Formats: sequence, structure tokens, C-alpha cells
Amino acid sequence: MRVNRRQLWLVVPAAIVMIAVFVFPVGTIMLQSLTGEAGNWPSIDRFVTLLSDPFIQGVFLRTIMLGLICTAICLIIGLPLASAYVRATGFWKTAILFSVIAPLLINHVVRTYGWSVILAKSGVIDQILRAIGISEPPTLIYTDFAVVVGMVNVFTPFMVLTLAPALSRIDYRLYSAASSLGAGQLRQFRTLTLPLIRPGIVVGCVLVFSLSQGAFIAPLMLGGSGVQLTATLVYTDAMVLYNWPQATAVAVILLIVVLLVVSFQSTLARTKWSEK
Amino acid sequence: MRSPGQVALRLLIVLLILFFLAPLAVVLYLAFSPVGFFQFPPQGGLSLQWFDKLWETPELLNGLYRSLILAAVIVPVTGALAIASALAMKRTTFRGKSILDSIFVAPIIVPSLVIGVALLQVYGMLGLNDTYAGVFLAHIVITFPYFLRSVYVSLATKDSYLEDAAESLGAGPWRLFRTITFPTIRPGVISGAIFAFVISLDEFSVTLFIVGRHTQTAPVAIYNYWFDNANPTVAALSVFIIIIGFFAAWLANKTVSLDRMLMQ
Repeated sequence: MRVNRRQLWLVVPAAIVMIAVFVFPVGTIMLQSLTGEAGNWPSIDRFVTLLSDPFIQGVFLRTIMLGLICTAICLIIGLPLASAYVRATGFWKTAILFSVIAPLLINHVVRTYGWSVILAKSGVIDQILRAIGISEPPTLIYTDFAVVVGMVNVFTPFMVLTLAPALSRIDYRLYSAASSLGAGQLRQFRTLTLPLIRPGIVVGCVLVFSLSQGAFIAPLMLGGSGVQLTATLVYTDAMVLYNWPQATAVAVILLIVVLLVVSFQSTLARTKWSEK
Repeated sequence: MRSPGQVALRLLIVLLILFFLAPLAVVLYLAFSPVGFFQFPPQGGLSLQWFDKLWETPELLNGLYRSLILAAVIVPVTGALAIASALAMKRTTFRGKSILDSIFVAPIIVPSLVIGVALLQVYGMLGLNDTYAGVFLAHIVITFPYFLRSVYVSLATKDSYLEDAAESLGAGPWRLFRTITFPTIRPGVISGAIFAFVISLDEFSVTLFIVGRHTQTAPVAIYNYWFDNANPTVAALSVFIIIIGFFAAWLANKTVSLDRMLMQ
């Protein structure tokens, strides 16, 4: 490979921008969050206070629970979608590409606005249920359900994009071999597909779970004041209550959670699958 | 012949496709709705009144203009930074390279909201909140990792013998870049450009923290208007954003294959 030291300066502009506008600000709030209640530094006072507050604990727990539910649903619907996408040709491939994957390129706020209309009181689902004779349809908007629907809709494409390459790498002769030996569809899936795509499943789940922990638009627009998650808590503290110390501390905890999840996955990938 | 299992699977796929299209379909329906809310069963008739209303709502229109201009400026600026960095990262070794590498991908991993809070804090000290410069810098940070990755991948798959040959024949660095390097990384530059444009146009979680009413971009304007008003003027604006999104997807699919671009 060519190594040319004269070209080193090419990286300088980007390095300056990324350090000044990303590393410096994130570093600043991390250091600030270590300011104690009496102004002493460094101190983990704020984190101790925060994490022993039952309300905050509830918010974190709820975010983790909804994240796990969302991850499970994304996996369950992502698997058939990815496998249909890998196998399909022509119309069906294009249909899945443009309905499931292309929306990644379409504004999240716009899509979530669409869900707010679908799930609203006297919204689309409400009116359809009334029209077919259910007089008291359940409230959907501003519930955990609404937030999970919004998150699943936004995060499933990531799962499909992670599973599809894993599925497409499977040698199809294995399936003919399995079925000629009498294995049914379900058994083929369980004993053949699943073990072969397990690394892809882990990567997809970790990706979706870490995305769900920072999910902001879905709880903001579909959860309202009814469903407070970590991200909306940071927003409310920073922009509504002007509780800066709490906003930065919660943001730093969120960052640490996401980094832990991501590093867990890369450790797992190194130790377990690098040998195969 | 199809087994019942295959029919069930096909049906499931159709339902899932509808699930993913539903929010977009509802937005389109509302934008052309004569009454301004959802009615079941739907009443006949189309109306352009929400588009008329949109032309009279400067806060939404200006948001769209700002977003389009911002995205159009972000693409060449982030592109130049990303192409230059990709070349340097590929061809040179230096101390701290792996740290810089992590810094360059980190904005993908760090939740946008955390970046938003951090920028709000630092911009506050520098007087950059509610300024175009602040939004511009933030959008460079958010789009850069994707652009860099697209270019880097296309650079990693090529060999450099052509460049050695051209250099030995006396081509200067600029000529070398223009005639050899750029044509080989063009697919990466195209997908990076589409990525950067779309991500800048989509960005909400960082931007919300650092803009005010007079600098807000389209997504923030949509959110604020939606929060304050119950009428579907935002749906009319959303129609343009949906069209741009599908156009970007179509363009990406035509030039570099959409799934490959997104999977990198």
C-alpha cells in the first residue's frame, strides 16, 4: 500500500471540526456532570442522587423495558421480512425495498406525525373500530403501545438490513440437503437458518436496542406526558424545566448505557465468532 | 404449488408492507383531505386547501427553504472533508490514527440527543445558539461519519497501482486525483452525497436543541407547528419531504443500489 506522509494534512480540517464541534461539547458535559451538589469536582453526587430517585429509576426501567420489547418485535417481524427480501425477485423485492427500507430516508418526524394521526383519539384506528361496532375503543395515543409502534416502525429497517446479508450468505444447497433428508420447514429454520445467522441476530438486536435507548421522536410525539423515557426526560429537563445539572447527568448516563451495550457486542464478536 | 405456510408468509409480508406504508399514506391522505381530519369511511373529494394554507404559513415554508439550502450546502462541504479524510486515513499512518478513527465514527453511536444537549451547552458559551453557523456546524458533524464511510469503502476496494503508474508518468497531485482517484471513488461519493443530503434534511434530535423560531429547519418547524395546531398544513409540507425521500431512495437505487449503500 502507498504510504504518503505528505497527504497527512488532508485529515486536518475534518479533525479540527470533529474535535471542536463533537468531542469538545460531549467532553464538556461529561466533565460538568461530575460537578458535585456543592460545586466540588470531581464527584459522583449527582449520579447517586439521580439513580436513587424512584421517579428517575422508573424512567430508566421503562426505557429499558420498552427497548427490550421493541427489539424483540423488530426481530420477530424483521426475520420474515429479511428472508422474503433475500429470496424475492422483481416486484416483491422492489416492494419490500421501497416500503420497508426506503422509509429510512424519509423524515422521522413526518412518519411519526403519520402515526400520531393513526393512533389519535378519533384517529384512524379509533374510527375504524367504531365503524365496525366497537363503541368504546381503547385509548392508544400517549401509551407505551403507541411509543413501541413508533419505535418498531423506525428501527425495523435496521434489523432487516443487518439480517439480510447474513441470510443471503447461507448456501442454498444446505436447504435441499436438509429437505431431502426429510426436515420440514420449521426444523430447517430451527436447525439450519437460526444457527447460521445467529451473529447477525445478535448484531441486529444490539443495534436496535441501543437505538431504542436514545429514541426521542417516538416518545416525544406519541408518548406525550404519559410516557416519559430517558430521551424525553433529558429534553424536558433541558428545554422546559431548565434543570441543567439533571439534563446533563441523565444525558451522560444515557451515553454510558449505549456505549456499554455497543462494547458488549464488540467484545462478544471478538471472543466468540472470530474463531469460527 | 404453494403450501399453506407459504401463503401465510406471503400474507404476513403484505401486512408488514402496509404497516410500514401506513403513516406515509395517512399523511398523503390528510394533505389532500377536504375536511382536515381523518374520516371513516373516507368521504369523496380532494382539496388543495392545505397547500394554499401552507403558502400562507411562513414558519413552515421558511423551514423547508432553510432545510433545502442547508442540505445543499452540507453536501459539498461534508463531501470535501470526507474525501480528504478518507484519502489521508487510507494512505498514511500516524500516531493517534485509531483514536481519530473512533472520533470519526462516534457520532453514529452517540445518541443524537446527547450531542444536542452538549452543543446547546457549548453553543451557549460561544453565542452560537439560534444561529445558522451553529446549525451548519452541527449538521457537518452528523453527516460526516456516513459520507466518510461511503468514500472509505469505495477507496478500500481499489488498488493503487494506477496511481503509482500515473505519478511515475508525471501527473501532479491534482491531476492524479481528478483523472484516477475520483473516478474510482465516484460510487462512494454519490452514495455519501445522497446520505448526507437525506440525513441533514431528516435531522431533528440535535437541531431541536440549538435552533430558535427564526433558524428552525423543516423537521423542527413541522414538530412545532404540529404541537401548536391541529390542522394538516404540516401534512402538505410533509408531501414535499416524502417526495424528496422517495426520490433519494430511487436515485440511490439506480446509481449505487440502495441496500448496499445502507448496509455499509
